[in-house]
Amino acid sequence: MITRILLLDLRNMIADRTLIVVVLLFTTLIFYALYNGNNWKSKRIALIKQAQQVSDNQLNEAKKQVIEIYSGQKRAEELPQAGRPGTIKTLACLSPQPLAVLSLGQGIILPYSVSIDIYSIKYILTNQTETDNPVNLIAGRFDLSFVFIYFYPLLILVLSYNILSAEREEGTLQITLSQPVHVQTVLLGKTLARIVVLLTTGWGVTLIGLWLFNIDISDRETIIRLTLWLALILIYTFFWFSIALMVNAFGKNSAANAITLITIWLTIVIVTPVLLTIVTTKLHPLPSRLELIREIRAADNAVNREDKQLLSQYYKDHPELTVNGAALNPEEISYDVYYAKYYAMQQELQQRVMSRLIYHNQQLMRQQYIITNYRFLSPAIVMQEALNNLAGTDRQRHEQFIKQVGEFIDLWHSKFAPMVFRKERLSVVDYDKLPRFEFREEHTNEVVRRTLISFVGIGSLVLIFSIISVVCLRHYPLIN
Amino acid sequence: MSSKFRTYVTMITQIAHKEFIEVIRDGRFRWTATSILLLLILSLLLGWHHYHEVQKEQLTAQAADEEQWLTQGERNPHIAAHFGKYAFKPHPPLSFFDRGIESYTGIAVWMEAHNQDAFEYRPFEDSTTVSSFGELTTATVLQLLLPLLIILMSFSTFTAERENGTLRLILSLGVQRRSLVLGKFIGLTAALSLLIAPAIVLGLLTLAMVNSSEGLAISTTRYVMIFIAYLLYFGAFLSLSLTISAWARTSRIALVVLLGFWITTGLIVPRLSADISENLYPVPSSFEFWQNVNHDKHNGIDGHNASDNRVEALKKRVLSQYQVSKIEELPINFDGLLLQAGEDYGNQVFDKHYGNLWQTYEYQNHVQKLTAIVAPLLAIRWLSMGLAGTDWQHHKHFANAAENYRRQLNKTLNDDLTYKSRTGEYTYIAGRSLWESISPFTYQTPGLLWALKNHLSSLITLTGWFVLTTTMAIVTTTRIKS
Repeated sequence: MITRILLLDLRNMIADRTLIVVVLLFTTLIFYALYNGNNWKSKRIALIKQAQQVSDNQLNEAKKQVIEIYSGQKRAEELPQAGRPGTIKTLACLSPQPLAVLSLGQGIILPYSVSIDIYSIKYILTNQTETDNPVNLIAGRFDLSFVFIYFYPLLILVLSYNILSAEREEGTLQITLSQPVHVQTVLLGKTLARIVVLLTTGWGVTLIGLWLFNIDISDRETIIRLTLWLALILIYTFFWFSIALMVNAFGKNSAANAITLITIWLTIVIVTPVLLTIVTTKLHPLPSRLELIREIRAADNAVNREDKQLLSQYYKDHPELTVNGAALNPEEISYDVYYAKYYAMQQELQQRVMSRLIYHNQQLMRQQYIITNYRFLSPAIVMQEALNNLAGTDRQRHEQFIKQVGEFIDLWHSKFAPMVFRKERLSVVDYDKLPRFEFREEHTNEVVRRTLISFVGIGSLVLIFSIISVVCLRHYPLIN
Repeated sequence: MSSKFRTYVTMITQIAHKEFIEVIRDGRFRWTATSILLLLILSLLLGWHHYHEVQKEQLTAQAADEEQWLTQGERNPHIAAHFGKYAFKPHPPLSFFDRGIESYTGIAVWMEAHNQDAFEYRPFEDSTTVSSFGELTTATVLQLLLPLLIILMSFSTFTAERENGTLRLILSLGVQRRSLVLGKFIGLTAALSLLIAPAIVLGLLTLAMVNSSEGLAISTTRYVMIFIAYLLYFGAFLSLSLTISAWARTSRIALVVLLGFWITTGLIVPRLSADISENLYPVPSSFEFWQNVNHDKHNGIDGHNASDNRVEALKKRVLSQYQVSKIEELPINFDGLLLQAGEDYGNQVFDKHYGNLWQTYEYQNHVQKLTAIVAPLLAIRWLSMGLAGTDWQHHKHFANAAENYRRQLNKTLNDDLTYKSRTGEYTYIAGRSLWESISPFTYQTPGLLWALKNHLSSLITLTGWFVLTTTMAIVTTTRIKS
């Protein structure tokens, strides 16, 4: 019976032409969003490659200088900077994941490449402000998560705001129900018709799009994430249909349904997220960036004045750095002393501002935790968080990046700072065996666990609204 | 007053009255209007609170920076130039209403030697996932949500009458179609003003609270202009709803069409036009930008590297000017001249690259302003930002002011080094008297006319929308069939 109703309704909708318009619109938007997402991802990957290339070239140049001196081609005095540990730099980058096209998330805002040398201070990553036009940033990005979180529900509502009320208003509901069939069955059949169409389009076009844009989905991790994405879209679809059904079950007319549904959409998708942001920023306000600037400058000033004492102090704290018991003379004017002093100063600076930087970060993470914990106030928030997580463009992944960069900075310091103080130079072997930053992704199990929680959460809401619908349908007025 | 005219006016008043009563009795209107009013109040409170905080912060920071500058101790003027000063972006009083691009541009700029730095710390980089949905400001509530309310309360104004049969009745009474549309327009506006009036009053109160007495007059003028702009915007939406309501066969069609318009022009077109403008006029990435800047600078004097051809040329020129044979014999410090020459060259490089970058932004913005022809939201957004003082032009104006100050700062410091010391005098230090001789950075926000001039096209587009929709409303109603 349900299948019969399903097919019949499908025919109706196609004849109505609404379905074709909706499907075409949906398809176009998905393709456009994927195109946008892919564009951003390709540009980002190209930029990282470019930056990496420049960094590698610089290292090769430096290595060449050392080779020239060793092979006797040039004298050491001609290349005074050859092999200096005080000047060596490398790059730490956060590459987008294959499925980043699914949701651009925070990837567009957060810094993705950090230059690292022995003077780097942990947590200060904003060394380059991107050149995006601020006006374009207001509008937000037209990516796949925008299409599915904002727009897709509207398509669902357009197709189902009058799923029952239209039949009643046209008088056909009475006729249908004069057959031995329950109103719930009719409703189910009609709903399934719509779900099948929208879900097939949504899933299908996205998968085709991923294939067309050559997104590499061959490895296990990506397949798992993609499957989770399909599941999330499924439950989100069910959610919005359950809302539409519930509103229809209340028994009002089509126009009233439309208004109620658009208001619900607005509340879930725009108002609740905004209100939640306000609450989190009030609960865990971020310390003033202006004060941070002032702190850093004051510390910088103080540290600059004490440069000679700092160097002496550093030797006292690290006696292993003296060469045959002799430390570098702070009064001496040479590159060695300059780099050593600068290093000691940066360490002192880091010491003085570190607690403030850490506090800033912690507050941000606290805000994020609240949002993660209260995300079920709105399925739109749940979806945005979950999709960002699957795409690897969420703040949590970036936090991991910052943390790992911090660890790498420590490693870099431990290797090269002592060389500065001992007046050692890098050899060719050192250049070949330079530590390279590799980002360690989090385990997929974590992603699966989190996504399943979101899935179950939205699923519970679907269940609740479905039950309400069933109860209300018992008293459904069959005639106007 | 002729009796015919009097009847005309009475008719319109009656229609308006009936429309007004009908709307405010409607539960849908009450709920939606109350929610929006609450959101408006909330956004005004938040806007005021935010403004209060950031304004205080900025003043404190600027004063503290000046203090840090003055108490930096005795040091070589060039070291002081490297320390530099900070300029902190001011917040115009009306930013409580419309924050424009404030969250998307940096809050401070470092005015140091050798570099025209980018602005630091864009507030939205400190946002969480949820914040990417947008900020709650009074402007965004008015631009996005109020049109929805207008649509919801007026989409069925003609179609319901037709469906209920009352339209035929009214027309059979000899009511002119023109009076009908005018009456409905007035009635609906009256209902809407129940919501807008308290918002305006609250806005004025907030305005008074954020302003000093001198600033109040100027701010009020801007506020009035903003009010007029939004009136045009709301009027356009109201006329559009009346048009569609008169044209559509059923209430359902009217609602779907109007909602479709709201969704398309409110959600899709803004994002789409941003994408289109970026594809038409791409900007270099930050990495590329600084690569290019450094490349251009490298081919010129950089002030710290004395082995360039240009340095040689400068040396020859100065030596002959002072008629000595060695730079150590000069009565001035050659290093100071070298540093300033480096600055001058660097400034040219920055002018070129920032000029290109900002020109690209402006081409992009132009594309978006053109798109306002299909989406009135874009027109009001630009106009609102511009009048509030939180648009791109205001930011650029400030950036230029800071840059000019930076150049002046460096010149003063380099001149001191050049004329108060000799070449090779590495121990030369200057003190507080030099630091004090440089007046602190001050900034004057440009006036209302300047702001308006930048957004004339948006004002014209918005007015065009209003005129077009009102004409359409009159025309469609005149042809209305019962």
